[in-house]
Amino acid sequence: MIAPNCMLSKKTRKNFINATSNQRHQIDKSRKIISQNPWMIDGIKFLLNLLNQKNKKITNHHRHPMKLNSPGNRRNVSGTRLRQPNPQEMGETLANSRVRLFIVWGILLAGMLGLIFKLYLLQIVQAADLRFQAQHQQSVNIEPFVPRRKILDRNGNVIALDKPAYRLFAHPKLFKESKAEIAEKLAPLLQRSPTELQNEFNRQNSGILIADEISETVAKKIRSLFLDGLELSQYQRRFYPQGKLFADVLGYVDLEGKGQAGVEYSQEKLLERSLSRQNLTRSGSGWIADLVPDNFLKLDDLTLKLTLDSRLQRAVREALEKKVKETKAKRGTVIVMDATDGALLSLVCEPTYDPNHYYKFAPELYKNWAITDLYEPGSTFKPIAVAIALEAGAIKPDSVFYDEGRIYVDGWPISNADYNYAGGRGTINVKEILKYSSNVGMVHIVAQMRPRVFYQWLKRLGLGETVTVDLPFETPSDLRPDWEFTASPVHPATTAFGQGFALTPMHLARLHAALANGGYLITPHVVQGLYDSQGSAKWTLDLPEPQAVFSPETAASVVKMMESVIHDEDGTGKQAEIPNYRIAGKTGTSQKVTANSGGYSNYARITSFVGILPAENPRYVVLAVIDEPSGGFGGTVAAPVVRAVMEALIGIEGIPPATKSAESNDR
Amino acid sequence: MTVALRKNHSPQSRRYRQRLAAKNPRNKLTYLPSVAPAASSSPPQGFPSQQAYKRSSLADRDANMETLNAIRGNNLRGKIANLENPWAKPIWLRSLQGIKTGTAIVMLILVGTVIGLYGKVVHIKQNWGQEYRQLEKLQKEEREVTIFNEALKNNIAQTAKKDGSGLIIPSGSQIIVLEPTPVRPWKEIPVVQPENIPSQQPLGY
Repeated sequence: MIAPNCMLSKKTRKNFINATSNQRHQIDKSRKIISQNPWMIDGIKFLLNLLNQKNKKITNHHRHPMKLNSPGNRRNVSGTRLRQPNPQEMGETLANSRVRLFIVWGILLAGMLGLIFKLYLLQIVQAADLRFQAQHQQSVNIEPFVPRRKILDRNGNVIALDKPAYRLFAHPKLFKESKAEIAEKLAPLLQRSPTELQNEFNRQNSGILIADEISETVAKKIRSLFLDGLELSQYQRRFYPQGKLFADVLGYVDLEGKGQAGVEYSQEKLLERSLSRQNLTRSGSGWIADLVPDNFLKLDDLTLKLTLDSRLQRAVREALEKKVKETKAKRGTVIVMDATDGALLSLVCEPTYDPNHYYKFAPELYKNWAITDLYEPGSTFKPIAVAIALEAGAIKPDSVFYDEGRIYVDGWPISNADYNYAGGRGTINVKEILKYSSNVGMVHIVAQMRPRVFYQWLKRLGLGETVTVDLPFETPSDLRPDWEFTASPVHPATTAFGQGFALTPMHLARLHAALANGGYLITPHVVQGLYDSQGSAKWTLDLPEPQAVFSPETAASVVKMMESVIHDEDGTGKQAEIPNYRIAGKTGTSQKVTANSGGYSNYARITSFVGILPAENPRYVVLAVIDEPSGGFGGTVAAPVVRAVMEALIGIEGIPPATKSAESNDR
Repeated sequence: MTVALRKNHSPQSRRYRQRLAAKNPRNKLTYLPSVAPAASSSPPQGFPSQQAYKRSSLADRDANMETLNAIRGNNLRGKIANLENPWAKPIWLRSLQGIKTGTAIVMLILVGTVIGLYGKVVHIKQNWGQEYRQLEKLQKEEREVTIFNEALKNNIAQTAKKDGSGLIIPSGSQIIVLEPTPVRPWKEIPVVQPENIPSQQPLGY
């Protein structure tokens, strides 16, 4: 006996005595442990209480009084129930409870093992499959919609922007009603005949493009029909609210969203924005579970701003359209340029197309012939030649020359345009040469320079190269190679009055802008830059430095000479005169080269007029070129157009009329 | 779990101790931390010296115990070592229980924080989804308004171009040019003290 018997209660002592020796040994062992570590008693008592519920002494104070004496509740003297045999042996109870404990543990263990096994199945065996399924369900490729940038004019009017449009696809295999019925329902909405639609349905079983460019209202109506098998997909279509007003400059955007002409083509990189596709996970209710990357919504509100003025463009187009229709000309163009930096205020070509429905027009209209087509400038080049001669020191502003009316250079006859009725004018000074537009006089002027020098000057002016930076498909001007130019004297002679070489109207405008701004070669451009909604520039077009080619005195004296073209009574440009305003200008009528014979046509001509406004402080250059008018000259066909344009320009820009003091100072 | 937290209020312990003391005063195995050692016996090795013991608070406590035991009739002599309370749970168990309690509290805090953060994240994401949809809607509306505006401008311009509209293109004849007046020199204004205007009753109200 390890512990004295007084440690045990009466009942347990009795049990101990009645237990077998083996059991007694076990009991001794446990009692020894307990006696040395009495703090275990709490825990053991708790467990024993759990297991030996039956052996607990039950008192009657919480029993129902009516049930106390029921057969199942009757007890003997010691308080134990009569009904159930009570295993009194502590050892027996212990063994039973151990079995029960083992059973419970076994069940729990089995459950845990089962869970582990299922976990193994899910995580390792089916992992790839389940992951694939989850990704398929959850991940969504979001390509945030980024429309093409808007294009604004100089005053902030939107001239090109994206408009949502719908495409209608039909999948006849999903049709619930018959094809005829569906065709009947769709026909009035799509403005097509039902038979036509039915033929379309019969083409394929699925994926038939029925209609493009469906507006939002029509799409809503189609959707409200609730027909199965029809699919409306939204896309963004480029919309030009002003119609064909800016078609020559802007170009158009094709159905894939790529610019194909004009600014839309050349500034594609600036206009087209695309954010990369993001692969994100999405919950069942549709919201994004991942952290969205930083640049997801990096949409800036930058718009491309042009230097064009809507109001002027409208006025110019009206004037040009009227004249072209009146003279039944093949085509016409007007360029209005700010000579200080080369910004184009207006660029109009006639005939033109509507970029909203560009496919309905002939492809020849897509180009801007002010930039793509060369022509021989004719008399409008004469001021430039005079400026070259002045700058080279070959002549002085008051030099005089003898105008024979008709001369022969290297066997080629060169005569004035009005030789047939005016003959030779005799001794005239440089100003009068320009005023009467005398070809012979020009030949004499240029003859004062060596051909090589003249040729170098032409090269310096950029002849043979392109001039703009932001308009596409430009043709470089055409100049003979120098060995050919200097070989015969007829070439410098014809170049002097603007024939024998070819340039684009834009190039000619640039040369006159050099006269207007005091001798600098500027770059004609249409794009101002990228501006945000507050109006601050985020990026501006990179323009090369203006190159000085003429001295300011030379330029000023040539402009003064050009004034007499318009203001003098017998000037060729009388029709461009605006009262109270000093305008400098030059007419030009050049014969076109005939295609078959290679010589000049007698009838086909190209008339032009260039104006510089205002003459006392030159700022704007207006050039109008009209190709093959049915009759007339530069002074009668092109000059009135320039006049109308200049009137509008004065009204829009608020150019004050020439003051008396300025007039008297200059004269 | 309850075992760990339950205090040992078993009456057996106290009663048992008393019975043991009454029956077997010479029992080697004693569980009597409250019995003071004999004053005459020298303390065994390792115990504090007599002076130190007398100085310490233990001395007071044991003196009190001695008087108590004298009243009860407990006259034990002999070397009785002050053993630890064997009913107290051993240190390793107590420390484990302490760690368990501590970590349980920390766990509760962490779980609360995690749930809070998770809820916040979910809320933020739901909000984001809603706001994004709102943004798309507003962008769409802005586009529609711009398109309508510009088309309207174009329409007005087209009707203005027609003959009967009464509108013409601006030209030079409509502008009014004002010459700026020359800058006048500064005029000296004498400083005048404001007079005290006697306030009058407004008539006619």
